[in-house]
Amino acid sequence: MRAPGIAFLVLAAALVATSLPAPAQQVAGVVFRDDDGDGVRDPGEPALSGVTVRLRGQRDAGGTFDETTATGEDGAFSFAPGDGCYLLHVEDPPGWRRTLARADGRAQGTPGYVHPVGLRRFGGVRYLLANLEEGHVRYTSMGDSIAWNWNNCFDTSSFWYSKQVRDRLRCVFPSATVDLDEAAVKGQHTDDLLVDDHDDMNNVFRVIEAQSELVTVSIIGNDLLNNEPSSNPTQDEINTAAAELIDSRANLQEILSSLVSEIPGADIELNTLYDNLAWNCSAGDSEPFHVQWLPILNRMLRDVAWGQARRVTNAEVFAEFAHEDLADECTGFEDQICHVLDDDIHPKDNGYHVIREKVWESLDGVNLGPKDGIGAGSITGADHGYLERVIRLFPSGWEARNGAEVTDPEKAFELDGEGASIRLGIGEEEVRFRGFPDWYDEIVPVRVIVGVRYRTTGTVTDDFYRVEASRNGVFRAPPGHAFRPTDWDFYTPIVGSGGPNMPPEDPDYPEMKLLVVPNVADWREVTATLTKNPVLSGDGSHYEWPPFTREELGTTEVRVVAAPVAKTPGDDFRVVVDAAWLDVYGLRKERPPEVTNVTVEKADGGGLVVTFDELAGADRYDVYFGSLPVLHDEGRYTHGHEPEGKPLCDVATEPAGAGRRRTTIPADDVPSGSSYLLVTGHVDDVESPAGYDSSGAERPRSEATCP
Amino acid sequence: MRAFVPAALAAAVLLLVPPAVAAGLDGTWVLERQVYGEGEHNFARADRPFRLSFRRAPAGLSARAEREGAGAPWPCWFSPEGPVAVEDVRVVPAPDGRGVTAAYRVPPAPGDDTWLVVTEWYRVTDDDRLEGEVHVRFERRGVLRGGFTWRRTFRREAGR
Repeated sequence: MRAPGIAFLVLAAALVATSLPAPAQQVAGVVFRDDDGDGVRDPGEPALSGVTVRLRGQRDAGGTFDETTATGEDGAFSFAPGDGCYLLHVEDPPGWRRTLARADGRAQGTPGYVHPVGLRRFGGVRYLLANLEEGHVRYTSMGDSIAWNWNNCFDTSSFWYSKQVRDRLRCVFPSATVDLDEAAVKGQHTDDLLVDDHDDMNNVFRVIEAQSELVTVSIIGNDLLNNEPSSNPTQDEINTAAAELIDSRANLQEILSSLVSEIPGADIELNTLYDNLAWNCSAGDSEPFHVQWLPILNRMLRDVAWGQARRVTNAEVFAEFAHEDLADECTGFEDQICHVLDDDIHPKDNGYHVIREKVWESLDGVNLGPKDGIGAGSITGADHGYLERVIRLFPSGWEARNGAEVTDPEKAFELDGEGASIRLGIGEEEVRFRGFPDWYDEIVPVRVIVGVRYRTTGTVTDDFYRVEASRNGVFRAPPGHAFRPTDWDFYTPIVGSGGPNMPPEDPDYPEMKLLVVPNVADWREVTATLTKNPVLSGDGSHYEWPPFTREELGTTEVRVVAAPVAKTPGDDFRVVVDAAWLDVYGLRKERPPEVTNVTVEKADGGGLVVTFDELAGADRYDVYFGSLPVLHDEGRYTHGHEPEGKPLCDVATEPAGAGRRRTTIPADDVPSGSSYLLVTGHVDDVESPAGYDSSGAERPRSEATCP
Repeated sequence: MRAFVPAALAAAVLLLVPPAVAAGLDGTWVLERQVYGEGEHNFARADRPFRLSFRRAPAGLSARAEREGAGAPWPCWFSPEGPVAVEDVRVVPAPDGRGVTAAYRVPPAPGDDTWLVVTEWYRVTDDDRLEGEVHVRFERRGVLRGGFTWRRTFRREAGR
């Protein structure tokens, strides 16, 4: 039986909308706008038409299949290649980003699970097909014992699933060479991948040197294993383990962002983590910490992959293993985990077959017929969801703290190749950028990526820098904080927040350094998914990850901060920030037009009667007063903020006939000095423009302060 | 799959120790706690008991491992089919008879190329428990490629 506690995501909706009736030997799917970013096409999520889709590979019957099509009005695409081995390639629409590869689990009792494929979860790599066409792919399999393919059951050979994926790629493109680096090292954790070991390919330095074209990473299990709390954990034990997980996330951000920026043509894949200690059907003693934190950890992995400057895919190992446990009969994990010598952690042959399929799917691999994991002659539901980047927000304010020096800070407010030059030290010096706009109410954020473009001058030795973001300016937990699954996320690591000598209270390699790329001669762009805490669902069965609100975007800060583990003060390096930004992915509502034909008359008692054309669909109106002298003398609009201005929000209005409405402003609310007056309306919670100045530019939306 | 090769294990049966070895290690021990590294989760399972037995003999100390009905002279390694042959066995009992160290190598499974390089040590504690560690390292093509550690605690099994 499963232990009580938090279960994982169960979305029945995952099962709809992806099955198309398909003739034999078809590869088919839908490209759609993924309004909630969960990788599943939910009812009402519209199709994306005109998206280029290619399928390329080898038919079992002989010959190459290579066709390109465009999705139709219904977003659908299909190919009929016959049995064989293929790669699918969906061309990202400009400005759109692939959503998660179906992070959800499957609903309990769902029919149709067939080992080892289960629910196919396509990832979508970017360069693999082109690299194969170039004739050579160097494939590096990094990580720990899972990447090694090890277990105490001795039923798979070393690097079995990586070899299988290699062989499938060779099948797709027989004329290309695909060489596998069997790099993984048993027992290693995320810190190890950041240690520059010259005799070892299992670190980012050597992989960057090799310029591998494909990198798969299976790691983090040992980070958790070596710091796990006892079965009845104390808060101190939970805090220690949570700190290690948070540090692991920072390590992975450094690992993935370095691979992305330093190997321009590589595809990178990160396995999620199954965890038998969370769903231990066999022993019936699931560990509470694992039960509660495994979904957190897997979300960390998805977020750190999703937020990279270039797509990093996830092999959804976790979700497929989780389905097995959902059977509640211990028929799933029991068939997939090796129990010999009380191993109880590593997959046996069955489990590694699942991982092989999930890695293959994450590369958009498609086999039909005997080469498929379950011998499927057709694969439908090769769906690809996308979110549009609806706005990029730049900061408008800055602050230097604790002795940091900054020159031209405002140059970090736009991407123009000129930067704010920051001098730190080896203490707590930092420069913060803030003031991201929160007034774009037509934007519905679903996911947010924080980015920074920077370089360094001088020489970075061991007085390092970090770049981090926080939704509220609180970058670390206060001393003594009790970490809980819904209260752990204080910051988003972007650059250098992990490293093998972190966390400071428990350094794994105290002599190691933080940064993979400390000296950055040319502009380097690093991004990360902006994160915050989840909430528990109403029934307590799973976590929900609410999107950022506009208000939270407005309070988000990005800081460049000294790393307090450095030892040598005194050199002259500087971090030069071209810009920091927030890329908001989500939906964009239509903005209503300006409220027009505003007239003002004096009312009895000194008030004003304001009459204007009714705004179609508006459910409320605002009246703003601003200072006319300030506007004339300084060119500033002031209608949104007191004392210079006076916003009157959601004023009472009444019909005024002939499609007009009016509101009466009491004398007490009418400013005494010379003022200008504006009227706005709200349609579907989107405020109309406050008008335009004489040059045609919209009056500043920062002054539209009414909710 | 690995095969059970009893003949190959025979060499490990007799461990040459002084006849006057202390009684502490003698007896049968049942694994009650096995954790990975610094972890705290106990992987030992009461329904899959693992026993180590040590017996004094005139010629030295004999040792045996038993798991789920399959037994073999210790040191040995278990596969799903039971104990497998190990090579390069070295066993060093503690002079006071309260501990023992063993080192050996587990050959690759058929079709694989990974050797396990294993060191085990056990010692009887003052409260009459047997504590020890199993260090497993991976050797591939002559190069060590990581490993893991189990920390083990056994209780003495009465009447055996």
